[in-house]
Amino acid sequence: MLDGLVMFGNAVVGYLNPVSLTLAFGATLLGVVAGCMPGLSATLVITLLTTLTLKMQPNQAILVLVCAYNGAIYGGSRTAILLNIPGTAANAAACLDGYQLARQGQAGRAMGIATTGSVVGTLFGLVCLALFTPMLGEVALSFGAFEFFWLALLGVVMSGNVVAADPLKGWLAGFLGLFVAGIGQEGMYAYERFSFGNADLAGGFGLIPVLVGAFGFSEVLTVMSERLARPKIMEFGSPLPRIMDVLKYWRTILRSGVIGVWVGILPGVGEDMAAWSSYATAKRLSKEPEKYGKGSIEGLMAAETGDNASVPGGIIPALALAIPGSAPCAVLLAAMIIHGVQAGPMLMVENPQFVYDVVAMVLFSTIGILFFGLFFIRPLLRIAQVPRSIMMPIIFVLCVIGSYSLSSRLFDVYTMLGFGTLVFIMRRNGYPAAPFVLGLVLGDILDKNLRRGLVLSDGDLLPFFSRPISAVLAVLVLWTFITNVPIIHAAVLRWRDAVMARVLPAIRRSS
Amino acid sequence: MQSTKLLSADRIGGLIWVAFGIAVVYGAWAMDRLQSLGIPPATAPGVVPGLLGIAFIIFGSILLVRHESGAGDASEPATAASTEATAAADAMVPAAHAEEFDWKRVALSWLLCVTYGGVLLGSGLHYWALTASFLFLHILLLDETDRVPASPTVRRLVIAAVVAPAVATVVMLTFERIFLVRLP
Repeated sequence: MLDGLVMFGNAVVGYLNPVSLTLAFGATLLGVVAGCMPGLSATLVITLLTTLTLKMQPNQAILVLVCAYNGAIYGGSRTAILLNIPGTAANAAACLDGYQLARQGQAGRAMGIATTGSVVGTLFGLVCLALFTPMLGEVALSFGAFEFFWLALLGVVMSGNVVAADPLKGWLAGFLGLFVAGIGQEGMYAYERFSFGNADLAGGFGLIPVLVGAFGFSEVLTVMSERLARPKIMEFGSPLPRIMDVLKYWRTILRSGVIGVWVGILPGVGEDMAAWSSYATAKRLSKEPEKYGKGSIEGLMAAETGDNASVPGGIIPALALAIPGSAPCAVLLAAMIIHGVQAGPMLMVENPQFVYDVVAMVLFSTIGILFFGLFFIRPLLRIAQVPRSIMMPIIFVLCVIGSYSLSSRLFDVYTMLGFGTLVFIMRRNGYPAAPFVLGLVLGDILDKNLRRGLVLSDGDLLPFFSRPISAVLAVLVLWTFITNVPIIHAAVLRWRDAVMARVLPAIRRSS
Repeated sequence: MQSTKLLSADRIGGLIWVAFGIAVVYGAWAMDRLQSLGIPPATAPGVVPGLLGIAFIIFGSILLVRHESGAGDASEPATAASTEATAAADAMVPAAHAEEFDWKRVALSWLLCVTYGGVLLGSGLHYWALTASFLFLHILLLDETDRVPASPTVRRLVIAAVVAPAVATVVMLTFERIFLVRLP
């Protein structure tokens, strides 16, 4: 514990220099600005920044990415409140009550609540990140090939299950990601799979060009496929948060922080589900549920606390297990790999300082959010009004040059174009991008560990089910599949409703 | 209407996944098992792609069968854990985001992007001129409030003429001088 505090202190002091501070606050501002712009998702921002930070020192590059990630998740609340357009998917829940508050002339108050919720949520997540990453890393030291195989599979299956409206399509997207990750030379015997004698394919598809295509080019096409009337910004008052709003809803804030971190830790689920889950739980347990959707302070606070708490939450498994908690975390993990940071159970043994460096990065981004959230409202909204028809071709130019600059070969640009088009078509047909990306990142882990496990067990499948942690993970994977069989799904819902009907009145009375 | 469209797309999707799965299984089966190197069959390179191919066939078939039986509901929430949140999201996302999908716009944008990045880039044309031309055309032809084809206004022409060369210059200098990239 004391070692952790010392390392955290060292990390903070280490970043207290002009270059790091400029990068931290600059990246946070960039993230907030990008988050403000509908169509620029947090994943897109991190993916593009990954290509721009390749030549930087690893710690500085990760600092930029973490700060931009956190800033983008927060930034989307601005437009959600004032324009009724969520800047990122994570802020859709904030539209409901934020925009209603703005219509009632309380836009400033709503922005203050969103800022407070985001800051408190991130700080709560930050504490969890510092506490749980080493603990999870220690537990994961006992993991072998069998457990890592199940973890990778669970990540893809769970992401497909929760992110997609139709789990079947989510799983198919995830498995496609696993398949694409396996193209080219495999990791055990350097055998070329599905390369058809093509020298470029023999090296496999670059992770970053595929990610840039999946989140950059497909997003450009998605935005360009829609027409949107330019909204007008309404007047707003002071955005300074009120202490009473925080004190009155401290239970909601704490609960939303816990939900946000928990949803963040779940592999591949993401910030938007954290916001919706926090919002739905807050509404269910609220003494004033009738206010939800009509300008509820509590609802807005819950949504914004939940989504920002899930940012550090998602980083926990990414660092401790190399299993990302969300799509942006998958990109972050890919960036860490590119910069030579080996996330996973050995991180706490070989490079424990890095975990606390990341905690310090999140802290700096939180300070940035507080500052820009309170004092940069008008300039941010001016930027948010830049027409998307001007922004999107610029984003595409960056997608092209970003993919090319990785290894100066046009094959990466073609990869970006091909996967961007594929993911766009898939998204149009209900196949989400997040499980695909997760599959792409986890493909190598799943492939190597399944085959390593089979080598260790001499081809016997039993250890995949008989080792305690393996068995639990296998049951979770199986449970995720079978609860989607309609009859079982209906039975689970009935059971849940019956439990909630008994428990809810007691919880409401106690709060 | 939307649900009917999705169901119809699901039938085509199911067929594609099954066909793709069969191709993957065949490719995995035909892969060298490296027995000459004394490698256990269970760890052959084709094991994981083969299993994934089987998964594509199974899930693609379910998609197909579900469509045929009319049992599928594309908007059905996933699990007990996510039901409430998903339902809340589905029910309450403001109407402002339900924007009209315009195939002409996306086709034009895709064509411009692929021509720029996939055909002309690296063909000998100067990077700055190519990028500026792409930006100019894209901004000019695709305004976010208009249908396609729309007649370009003088205002849009001016915006495109200012933004395109400025952005192309900044991108070129940044990547060439700061990131030391040899531009295509």
